[in-house]
Amino acid sequence: MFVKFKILLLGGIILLLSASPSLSVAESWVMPATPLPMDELFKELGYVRSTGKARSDSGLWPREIKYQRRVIDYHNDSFRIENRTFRLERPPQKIIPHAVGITEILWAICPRERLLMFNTVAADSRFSMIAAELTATGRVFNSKESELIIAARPDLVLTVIFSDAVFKQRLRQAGIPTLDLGSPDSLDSVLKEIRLLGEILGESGNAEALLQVIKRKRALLRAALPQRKTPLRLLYYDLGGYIPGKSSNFTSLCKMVGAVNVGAERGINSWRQIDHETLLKWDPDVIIVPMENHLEETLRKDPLLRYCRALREGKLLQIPGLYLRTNSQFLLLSANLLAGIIYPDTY
Amino acid sequence: MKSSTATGLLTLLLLILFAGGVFVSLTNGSWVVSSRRIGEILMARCGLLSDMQISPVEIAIIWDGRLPRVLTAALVGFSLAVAGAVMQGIFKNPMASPGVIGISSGAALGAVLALYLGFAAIFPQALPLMAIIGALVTLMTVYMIATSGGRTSIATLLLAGIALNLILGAITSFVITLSTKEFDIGRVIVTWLMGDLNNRLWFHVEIVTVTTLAALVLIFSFVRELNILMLGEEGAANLGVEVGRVRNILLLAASIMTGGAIAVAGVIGFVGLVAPHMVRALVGPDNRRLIPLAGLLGAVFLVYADLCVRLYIPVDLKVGVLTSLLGGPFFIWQIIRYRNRFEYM
Repeated sequence: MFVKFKILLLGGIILLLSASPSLSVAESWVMPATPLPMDELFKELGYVRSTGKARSDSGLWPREIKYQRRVIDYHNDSFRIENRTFRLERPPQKIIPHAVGITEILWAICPRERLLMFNTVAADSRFSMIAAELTATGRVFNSKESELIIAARPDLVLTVIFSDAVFKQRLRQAGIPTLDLGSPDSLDSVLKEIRLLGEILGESGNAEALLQVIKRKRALLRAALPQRKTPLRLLYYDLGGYIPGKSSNFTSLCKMVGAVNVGAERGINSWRQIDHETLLKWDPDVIIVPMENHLEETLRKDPLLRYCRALREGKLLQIPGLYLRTNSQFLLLSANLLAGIIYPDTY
Repeated sequence: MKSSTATGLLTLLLLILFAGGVFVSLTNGSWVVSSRRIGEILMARCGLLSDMQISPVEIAIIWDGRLPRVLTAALVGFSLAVAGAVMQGIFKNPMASPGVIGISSGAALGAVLALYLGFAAIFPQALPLMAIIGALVTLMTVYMIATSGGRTSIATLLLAGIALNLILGAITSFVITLSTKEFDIGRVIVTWLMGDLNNRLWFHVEIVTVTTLAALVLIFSFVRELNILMLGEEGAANLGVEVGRVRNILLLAASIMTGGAIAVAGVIGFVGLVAPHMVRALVGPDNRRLIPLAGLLGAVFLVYADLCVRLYIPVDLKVGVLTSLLGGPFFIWQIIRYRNRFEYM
């Protein structure tokens, strides 16, 4: 009897674990009208080639690249900037990006045959705008499989501060050139990263072309925003009551759509958990929640939050979590969508 | 000092501290609500006063925000301390706590699965329910492992508990690893495992009230037998106590209490270990006095701990971390103080 019970228990646990958290995805969401057409913007940001002669491609090799790396200290809710130097002997031809944001930028500006492999997170549609295209390449690896990467002998692996430290150490020990980048927190820092990546790859022309697209589209988005006397105060509420602050990309999204991030306004730097009484006190005009995890339903049912202005005025709004997580040129796409969501009567 | 005098003084002191803690919790927060207004709100909600003149926002803040939180903290602290006192009595071991036979780990796994699989997001009651189910399934499993020929020995119960703790801990770690891919869910799970009383609602109070009351009825029905059990199982059997049955019922009660507490507040350590110790040193081992007073001390401890993390500690410290940071050193101090009295192998 005990053996049967054990098998039953084990079977139950395996069955539960094998289920992905797909139950948490909301079904009823309709893409709103946006200032710029989403499909067109996605295409323009997703694949850029310069028409003129690439400038730095004719530059000198080896080259020493100086760059700044932004490091977040979650413990102290702060961040710092590190100045670093990286030496490249020749333009890298076999590149492996290890973060979604970097992959999205490289996919847009780098000849794709030079991109050797992509990690599973970059090929996951919950985190990546180009998941389907990366999956179609068939060159997807588990993000911690350092042996696979070493065996592929890339001439450059681009990691970020969040990449596993042991993974990075193993690559260095194996003599794989590794460049560890920081974490962009705004469209401006993404622009710097695009420029830097262009320089590293010898693709400054394409990088510059992408920068021009972003700047042009950002100006168009800005021009299409409604004129308001006071900016809307937006609060992004994530699972568990976590709120992003000043150094999060949500602040950048708010700036792009002419709004204010309430978390930043109230002194949060990275992320902080707040209670509903505090949320009521801050009383944002709009609360943005990721579409997944039924957060909208949970907040709507909360007895305390029914007095919050955003809920009273029907401004508890959902956006697919993917758009809130993006850390690349697609921030502009997210801003475009956010504008469509928070200014529904304008478009 | 006579035991009854010590009991009376301790009860009075704990009640004053408890009332003070509840008062400070209700009067402090992001919104300024005067203590007079809080009194009016409480009276109005109890039907003793009309609430026509009171702002509904203030009512919501006090009645739907601060009060459920402080009551949850009190009931969770009470439950964990009582469960600890019962466990220490059953096992005749001062190291026994609700976690010793794996109940806490079972409850934690149930809750973590509810969060990871998204059940908690669709149906908020799923988390506490799965935690309680986790605690009860663990208890059943421990018993099935430890029972042979209708007899259950304390030693095999403890060994089975150790083994299950390890297995359940490993599965929980595995689920956490899976959840880190979804950063937001991973963060919520880790927060929950550190013990969290943020945004508690009345349904949390209801759950922990039901489990606490149900378990208390069982415990006080057998509190005399628990006292006799502490003299030794053979002696208890000679005095007419149905040792196996009483122990099983008391363990079930302690599991229900632990499961209910973990279900609404996450994993909160050391309350169940430290509170009974402190009270036992003051009023002696009689469970009729020890259990309610240990419960009261647990409630006071957790109300003040939550107050600290909510109002006075600027970093994002969770209540379970604070109880361990306070309870752990106290327990070590107790070990050092009494180490000469321990028997050596």
